[in-house]
Amino acid sequence: LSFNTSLWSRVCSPLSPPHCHPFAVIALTMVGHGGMFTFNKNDGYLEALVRGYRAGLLSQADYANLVQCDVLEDMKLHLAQTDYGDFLANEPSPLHTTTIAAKCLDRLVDEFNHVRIQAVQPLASFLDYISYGYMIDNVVLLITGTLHERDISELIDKCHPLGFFKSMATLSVAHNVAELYNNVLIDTPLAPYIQGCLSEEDLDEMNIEIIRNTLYKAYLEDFFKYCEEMGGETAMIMGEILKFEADRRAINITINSFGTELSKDDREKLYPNFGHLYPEGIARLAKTDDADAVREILAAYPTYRDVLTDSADKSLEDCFFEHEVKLNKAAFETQFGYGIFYAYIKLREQEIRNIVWIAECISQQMKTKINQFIPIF
Amino acid sequence: MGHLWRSEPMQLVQLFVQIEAAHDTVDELGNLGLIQFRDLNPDVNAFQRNFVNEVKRCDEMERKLRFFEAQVAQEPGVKRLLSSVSVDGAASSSSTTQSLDELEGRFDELEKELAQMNANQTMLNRNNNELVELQHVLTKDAVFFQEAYGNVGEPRRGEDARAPLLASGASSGVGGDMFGAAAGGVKLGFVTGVIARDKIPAFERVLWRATRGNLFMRQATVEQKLRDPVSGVEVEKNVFIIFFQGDRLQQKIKKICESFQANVYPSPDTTRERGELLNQVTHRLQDLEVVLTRSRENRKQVLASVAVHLQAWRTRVMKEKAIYHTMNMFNYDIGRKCLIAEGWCPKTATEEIQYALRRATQRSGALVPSILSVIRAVHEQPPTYNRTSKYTKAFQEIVNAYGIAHYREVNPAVLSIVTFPFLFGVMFGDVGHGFFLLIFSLILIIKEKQLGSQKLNEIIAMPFGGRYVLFLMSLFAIYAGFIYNEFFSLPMDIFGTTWHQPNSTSGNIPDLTRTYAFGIDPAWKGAPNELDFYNSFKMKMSIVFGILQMSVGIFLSFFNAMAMKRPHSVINMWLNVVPQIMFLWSIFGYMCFLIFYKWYIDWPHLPPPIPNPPFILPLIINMFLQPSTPPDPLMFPGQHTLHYFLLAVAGISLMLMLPVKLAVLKMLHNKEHNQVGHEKHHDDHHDHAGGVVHHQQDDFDDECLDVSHGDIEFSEVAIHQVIHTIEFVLGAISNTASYLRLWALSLAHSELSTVFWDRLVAGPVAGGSVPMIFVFWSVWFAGTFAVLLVMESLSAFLHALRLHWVEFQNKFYIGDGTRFAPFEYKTILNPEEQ
Repeated sequence: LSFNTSLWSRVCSPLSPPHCHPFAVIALTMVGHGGMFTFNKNDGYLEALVRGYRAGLLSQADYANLVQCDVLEDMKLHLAQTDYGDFLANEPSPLHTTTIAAKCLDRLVDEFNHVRIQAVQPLASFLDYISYGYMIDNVVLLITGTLHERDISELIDKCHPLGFFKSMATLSVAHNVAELYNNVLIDTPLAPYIQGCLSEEDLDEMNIEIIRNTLYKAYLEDFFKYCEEMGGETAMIMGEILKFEADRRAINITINSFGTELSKDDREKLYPNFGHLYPEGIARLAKTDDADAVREILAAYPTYRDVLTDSADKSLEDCFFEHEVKLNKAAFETQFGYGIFYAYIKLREQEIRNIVWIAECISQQMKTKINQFIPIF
Repeated sequence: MGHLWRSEPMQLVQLFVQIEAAHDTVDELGNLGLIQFRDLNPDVNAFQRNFVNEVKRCDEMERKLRFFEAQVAQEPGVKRLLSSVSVDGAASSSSTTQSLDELEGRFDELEKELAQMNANQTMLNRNNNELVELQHVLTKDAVFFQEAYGNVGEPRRGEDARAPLLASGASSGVGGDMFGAAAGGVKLGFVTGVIARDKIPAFERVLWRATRGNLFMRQATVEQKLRDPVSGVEVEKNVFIIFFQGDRLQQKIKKICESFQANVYPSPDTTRERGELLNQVTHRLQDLEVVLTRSRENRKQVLASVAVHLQAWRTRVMKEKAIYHTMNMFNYDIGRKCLIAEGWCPKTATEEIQYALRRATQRSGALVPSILSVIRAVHEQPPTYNRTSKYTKAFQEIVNAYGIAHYREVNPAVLSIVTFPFLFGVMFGDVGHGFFLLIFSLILIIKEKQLGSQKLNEIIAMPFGGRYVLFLMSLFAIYAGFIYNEFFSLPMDIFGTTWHQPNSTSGNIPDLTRTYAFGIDPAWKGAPNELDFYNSFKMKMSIVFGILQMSVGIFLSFFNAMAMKRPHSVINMWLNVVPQIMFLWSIFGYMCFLIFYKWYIDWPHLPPPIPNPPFILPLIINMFLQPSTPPDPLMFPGQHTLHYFLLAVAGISLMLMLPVKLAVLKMLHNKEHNQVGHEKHHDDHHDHAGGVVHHQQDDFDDECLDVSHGDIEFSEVAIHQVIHTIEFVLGAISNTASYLRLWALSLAHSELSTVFWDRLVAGPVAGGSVPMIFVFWSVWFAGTFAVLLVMESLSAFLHALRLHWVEFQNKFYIGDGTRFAPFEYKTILNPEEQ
């Protein structure tokens, strides 16, 4: 039981309301929703379920076997021995990477929906929060697609199934942000997030990126606030993960904005208003002009210094993925929190990325690069 | 009985099979089902084994078969054919002659044919749906327009749909130019189509938002359900028509329709044109119907031909897959072109296996015959194989559920066949209840053939599997019921009670010259001291049975010890079995003796009469706590001396079990250790000399019970022995007490049935109201059935199970074996059987 450390760190942290007696806070953490007192009654079954799913994640030995495969059918044969089971049994040979990816994703979605359907509040809304992120991606994907005159049904197929919402297809009608809001998003949970960037401007590439980042910023801030209010283990674990997510977005925005028309002021507006970098690091990021400066800023933060030191032969993205995996794995060391639900989805996504990477390397005969995936357990 | 007493002697055999004959050999052995193959390549990945391509091919064929099956399942007429064929299996002979390649080719063709047919069918269906939808749109539109003009009140304008519907009264008065804006009316466009009904609310809302309310929409339900051509799900749909104004809106609305997957159909502007189109559509629909029926018939025929063979094909492919899986476990000697297999088989089966090998060699036409040689197993426990009949199987399963017996260990199932139902009967003793159980088990046994051939649900399958257990259980329940003299809790006066109601004149001593012939005298029932009597009797009986069964358990460990190698056999015999039996009998054996002795003696009529015979339990306790004080009164002369003797025996047995045995083990351990060191030295010497090393210790004798655990620390052995001894001594007391559950359950059973009878039958009968008797009798019967027959039998079963698993088996049962799982088609094809 990590009762002592986590609880007291929370009680003594500046985040807890100063006017509260510490024991009142303890009582709240225990009895309030997601608290220890009622956790097993409400969410114990689902937690156990997710821990079971986690046990099914591919192990190092599995990966060691997978990289030895010569054709995708071999992968199918090996995956059949893992928890994936016969998920490819009904696929005709020859297999394609896309089929494997799609089937893996189907499994993830099935698992998520299974948990979501049985969840009661507040876990239900927590899980909904997870799906909002995918909704944002879908919205952006659809708008971009329409802009390039793609067929709408083809685009829908490409959308992430966790981010489906009813009136999604009508996104293609919208020509500017206001229309987007008024016609479609007003009915979705994303509505409050978009209010920060309402304008009558026509949609173009630049706008879409700004919309995406504004939406994401608002989403992350909201999610963070929600977890903080929930308190307990959830706040601790999710706080750590979301802070990292916020920092990662801020850094990515900065790096990707070099050499574009995005002004520094506009850029600053896209940074989430929390995270390890917030506020000093963010303020400095807002003023940088090149990638080296970003590195310098990050070096001041111990977490990121460690992340970046061993990045000599890896891309920044991979380093971040690795750190994310580490944080998500840590979530499974705790109990009485919702962090593991989020962490499981992210770990499973990473696993799918790994499988797809290996499958791609195999099908394109690029065996030299096959080991560049990020093992989980 | 012999083969049940200990598991079959096994041997490890090695097979050398020519690669050409391998497939047929494994096939023959699969039919035989007497060899459990060992995986000789445990470190090789599944996809790197020798015959992985064949396995993949089988996987692919299985996939195709599943596809066929799904297709067949969609055709109700053909599906019936499938189930009828699977039972008689007549078609299976035809396909076994076909080679795998032929089958694969056939499957390929069939799959392609079916896929093409499905594609055609889907296309035809889509066309059909479109036409049907268009038909509906046209008919409904006519109604819309009529209504619309009806509202405007100018039916003569029905010729043109683009009339200004929302025009003001002023504009509507102007007849001529309907299209021009000059008249003040606005040109209206319309879009019409069909949409899934559940999408309508969202559709309407989005439309309203996108046009800011500038539209007029009507809709009507389509009564006919349309089948989605791709997914095959029936969808309910609505026809809609949207009137709007302006081209930009038209674009927008069409886009929205598209995004909602609504099918938009062109509808002509005038009524006449619409009528013509409707006629055309109807004609085309009729033509299409003919084509559709024909293609459906065609598909049905193909599927019917598939369905006939499907079961046989599946069996064939599963067998092939199993063969290649097995062959993947073999070593492939590339130089000699042969496969090397290793596996366990019963010693008695060698000949059958030889025959099978010969048959396979002939079948495949291989030049070199397969060779079977027996090899020595080193430090590996062979699998445990108990041959069972349908009668003994359930009892063996009861034991196996606790743990599979160690190889060649004494099998507790032999005794369980009698003791298990007997202990159940002791707890469930009632003639009436036992009789119902007997009828139930007899029904299951008589219908054995019929029930065995079909798949049963879990509730029925459980008693069916244990039907012979149930049968014996019911017999012993009836027997115990006669002993307790209970028939639905009522006493039966069969032989005439020996008790006469004492009256004041003839004194109150009953007739003692005659005892009731069998069981307990019915007069005890309802007597004021009924419970005192029954409790004393049942309690003592439980203890006696318990001690008896535990002693038998210790004797079984004696048989186990005999089967061990020296010196283990000697150590176990004299330092384990003998002290255990000494300890148990010195205390609890003596107690049993006292029980019988107390029953035997007529205490009030002894020469010096003892009015109150001594209680046994305090006597035994005092024997331990105050050994120096003699029991008062003495039950027989020399009892006190006997106590000293028994205590000494118990003490000696404890000494033998712990310190002496430890010392002997230590000595043995040291000796072995020295020997090993010595041998190692010798081995080095031999190696230098280039000689062959022969290990005396690796000799494996399968007649022996080998329980040595290799080279382990002595401290572990010591701790294990201490725990074992403490467990036995404490267990002797607690297990004996545990047997009191026999009394407790039988008491509960009899009390419960008495209460049911008194309250629900005897009471209302005394009340005299006839309808109430009927009502209460049925309540009584329901209660008897649900509580006494179902729940009580379950609980008695569980307690009997516990007494066997814990109290009986912990005296001797090692139970760390592995079950013999031969490669056998029967289990592969029906995995539920085992």
